[in-house]
Amino acid sequence: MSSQSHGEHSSHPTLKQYVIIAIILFAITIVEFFIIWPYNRIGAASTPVLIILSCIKFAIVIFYYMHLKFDRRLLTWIFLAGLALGLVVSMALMTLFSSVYATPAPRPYAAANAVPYVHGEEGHEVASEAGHQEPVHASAEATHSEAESIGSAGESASSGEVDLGMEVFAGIGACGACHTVEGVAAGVVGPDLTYIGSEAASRKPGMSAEDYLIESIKDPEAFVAEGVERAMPGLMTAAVTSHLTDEQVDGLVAFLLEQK
Amino acid sequence: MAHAETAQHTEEEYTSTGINHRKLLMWVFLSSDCLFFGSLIATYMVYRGQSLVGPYPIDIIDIPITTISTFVLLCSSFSMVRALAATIANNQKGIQIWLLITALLGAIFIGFQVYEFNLFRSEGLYIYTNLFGTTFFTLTGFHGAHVTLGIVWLLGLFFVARKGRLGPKTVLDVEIAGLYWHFVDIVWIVIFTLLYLIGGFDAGPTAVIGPAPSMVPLV
Amino acid sequence: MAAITAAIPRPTSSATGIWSWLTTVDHKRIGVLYGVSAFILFLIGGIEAGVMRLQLMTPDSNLIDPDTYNAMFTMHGTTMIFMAIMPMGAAFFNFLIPLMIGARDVAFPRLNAFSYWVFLFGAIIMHVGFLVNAVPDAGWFSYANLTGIEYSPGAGLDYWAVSLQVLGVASLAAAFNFVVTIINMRAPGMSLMRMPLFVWMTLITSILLVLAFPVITVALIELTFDRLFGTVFFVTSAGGDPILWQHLFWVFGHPEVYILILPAMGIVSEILPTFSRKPLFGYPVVVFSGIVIGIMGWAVWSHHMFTTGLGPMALSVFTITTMLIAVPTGVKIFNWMGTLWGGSIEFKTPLLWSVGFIALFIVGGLSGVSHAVSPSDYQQQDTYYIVAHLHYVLFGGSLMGLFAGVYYWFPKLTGKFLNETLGKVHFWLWFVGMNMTFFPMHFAGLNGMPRRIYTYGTEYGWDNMNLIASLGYLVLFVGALLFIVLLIQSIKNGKPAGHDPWDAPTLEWTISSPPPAYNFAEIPQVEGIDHYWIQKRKAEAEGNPITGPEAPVDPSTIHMPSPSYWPLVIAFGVAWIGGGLFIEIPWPYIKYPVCFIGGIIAFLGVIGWANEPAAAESHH
Repeated sequence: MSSQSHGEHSSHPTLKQYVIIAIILFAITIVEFFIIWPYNRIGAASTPVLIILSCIKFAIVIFYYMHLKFDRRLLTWIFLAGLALGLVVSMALMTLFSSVYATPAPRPYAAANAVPYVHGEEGHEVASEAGHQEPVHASAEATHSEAESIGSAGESASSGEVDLGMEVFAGIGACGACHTVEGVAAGVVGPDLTYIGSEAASRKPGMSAEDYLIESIKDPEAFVAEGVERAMPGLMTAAVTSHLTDEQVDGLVAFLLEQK
Repeated sequence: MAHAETAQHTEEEYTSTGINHRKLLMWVFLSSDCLFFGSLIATYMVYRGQSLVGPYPIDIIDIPITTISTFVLLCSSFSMVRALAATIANNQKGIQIWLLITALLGAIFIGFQVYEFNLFRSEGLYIYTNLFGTTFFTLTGFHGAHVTLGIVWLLGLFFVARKGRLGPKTVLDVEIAGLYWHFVDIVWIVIFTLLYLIGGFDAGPTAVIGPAPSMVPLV
Repeated sequence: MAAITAAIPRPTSSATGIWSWLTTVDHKRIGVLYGVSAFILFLIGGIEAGVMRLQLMTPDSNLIDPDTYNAMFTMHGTTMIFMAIMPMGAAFFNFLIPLMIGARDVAFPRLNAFSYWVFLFGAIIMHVGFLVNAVPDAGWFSYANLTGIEYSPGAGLDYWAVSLQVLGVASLAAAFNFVVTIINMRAPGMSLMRMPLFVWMTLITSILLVLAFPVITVALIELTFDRLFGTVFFVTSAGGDPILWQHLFWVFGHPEVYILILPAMGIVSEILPTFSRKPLFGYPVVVFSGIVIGIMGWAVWSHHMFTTGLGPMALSVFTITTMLIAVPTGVKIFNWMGTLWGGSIEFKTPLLWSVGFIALFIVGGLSGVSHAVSPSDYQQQDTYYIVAHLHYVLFGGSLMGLFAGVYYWFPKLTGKFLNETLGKVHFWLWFVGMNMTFFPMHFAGLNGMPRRIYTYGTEYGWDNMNLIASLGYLVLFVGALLFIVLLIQSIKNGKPAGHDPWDAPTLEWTISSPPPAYNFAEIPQVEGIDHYWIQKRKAEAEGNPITGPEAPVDPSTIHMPSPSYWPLVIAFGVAWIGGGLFIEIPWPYIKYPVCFIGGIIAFLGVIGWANEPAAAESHH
């Protein structure tokens, strides 16, 4: 087994072949771009399709640009060993952390405490801290409707407060992550609210149903009714709902009062 | 980057497999680097959708701009391949030009990264803001560091080429730099797909982890 | 750029004294450097253990305060694993691999030197904490988020993370070198299945190193970023999950324990055939089981996390994989016994240590199998039962295997025997002491004694067990002292050993003791697994027995790599890239200027290295 000088190099692709390879790589990238922009054209299939296309690009670069196809097999085995191990370990970690096996998905603490990013409000505030000027996107109203459409899960917005409340419950309020309302959401972390409409009035002595609900939403820690089961005390704080406008809270209250 | 005589000396050295020591070393290193980037990518994937505050990816990830920078990097792989061909063919001018172009394209890619990082920071996403910022900046930052090291390496080779020391006898020097450079490109292919094309639509923990819902306008 | 090299002349191979050691690229010398450093650090780790055992000797003790105790168990574990056992293994890899495969040096001699110096600097950084009263104290595995800036505000954890990162660079550099050396520099005729088993184990260990260290590199990056730059990888209030640290750490950590044991297994696999006077039983099976252990070692990591709430699916999977990995290990043990069986046994000191290794490793393996079953691990986790297990496999296993190697190859390194009788006394002191110290811990642990407690009340009934354990430590201590004495005595007045004192089968015994700088005058043509036995039997049969080593030749006729100071320079730069993280200035453009300067030094070093030919004079 003498050493190699340039014997291997005689099997380099020609310039023409390299150009074709480059064009293929560009073409695949363009296809990927158009699958996903300006909107996802193929829905749930986009993830596997994009991954497969990227694998093809990956393989082309490795086997042709990096010459692995024409080199000794040993080098292929060496590289694939590390690649395969990296893949397997990454996927194992993702599986171990995935919501398939973990406690209720999405994670209740995160879901309960997450604050949606709003362009034009927080974006503007933070931007001005950094010394920059305009927020990139439109005004607050536009973003509210944006937020609504993301949260509405396909339902069209209607005028009733109750409908608004249901949208907020299932969407931007993230209430359904922890609370159950039969037919709307099935959260198992917080108290079941399916019949809250008939119970609210009697929960806190001296407080109307409406006021009780408003307080429970805006300041959950203020009062916990007796016999109410809490999976983990302190999960729902005022911060959880601080992003809701008064209009949205009123809608929620109206919606919840309907749950009898 | 070795002295021409030494490179010749080592290339003629006996090896049990017929593969040059340094080439074998580079492939073992790349195999190991897969684990490095694999762990960083795994961290990103594990934390997808878990940020408690925004900005979230859907708010600031700019796919068109990043697609352009991906093209730039793909072009640089092509120019790297041309540089290697020029070295084999002893085309001294070609070696210098293609090496310089590769380094330049790499620098342009870094320029895009810097632009994007600054854009994100102006939107309020810093490395300490949330899990998205933390994992995104760390992963793409280390990739950018790899690219930068590659650019320095290529510029070093460029200066060696100017002294006429690169040619058919020192193909290995260019080839090994090429292996590193292409690897950095394929890591970017993975990052681009996962963080931008797929992950670019993540919107906080209430979103189901997966592709963007169809027909939701992004602009 | 040649000007850099010209400014300070390159040392020649005939340089002597300290400068020759600082610039050496000779694998044999680098092996000695690793060995000496590792032994010193082993003694330091042993002192840390002694402090703990003294504290735990009696209940309700107040010899040291809890914080000091935390620092002790952290430093003891970190030191022993990363700065004692691993570099001891590296010492053997360095000294032996080229000799065993018939090569004159490793594939990249300067990279080899670089890895040693970076290791030394990393070990120094780790111990700087003692000087500034910032000793790491969160356990050798430093679980998040105890290690975050909120709960560990001092600099101790920074020293831990930075130094481990630097040590990682050293391990990676060395491992890359050995993978290429073993794959690519074997003498003609030495196919992979004719390599000595120690070479096989080194190859597998090096591959594990190369693949596992990047994972802990990432984990340490994430920890360092959390502590220095405010990232939120493990910050729960931002949604981060400390369990991610555990996963990343143990994905590295489990292959790491195979990195710790495989070299010792390789050493023992060399010694048993020599002193049984028959070949290793089932060589291909032993190789194969080593490969299987290396691969399966990646599938078991979460057994270190059984009590973190992984869920029944993960618990089941990892229980099964962990139980399965006991199989190839058991296979090796049967093969070792098969080697001894029917052999003509010479109970010299190396064999004594090897048999001790097998016995104690079996004990550690048995307790290991009981941990593998996750329900029983629920009782055992974080108790002294685990401490017992890990010390049986690491002390009774790795350490005793390594010392078997010390007694076996010391004659090759120095041309003298280590005192045979004292060596046996050393063995028995450690064998008895080790069992005294760690066997009671099985009971203490199952009885509920938790790990990492600085004292305990007498009402638990653990007093006697701890007393015996601490007395056992004293026996170990005496044994260590004895070894130092016998080492010095043997170096000065050791009984001379020839080139082949044990009548052994592998290539390193064909040359003189100590070996010449060029190792082999003529690269051998290898004829089988036990090449030298084949040669010796053939020569005897022909009536012309081999009585001496390979004849020496004029060293100037053999082209060897020349010494170089660039590895030291680059290592120095790398050390300051790490160390510079402790020096922060408020200038917004470069907050860590020393890191930057370290980077420049390393960069200039790389340029110097690249412009310097591997060997100083061309012989064309």
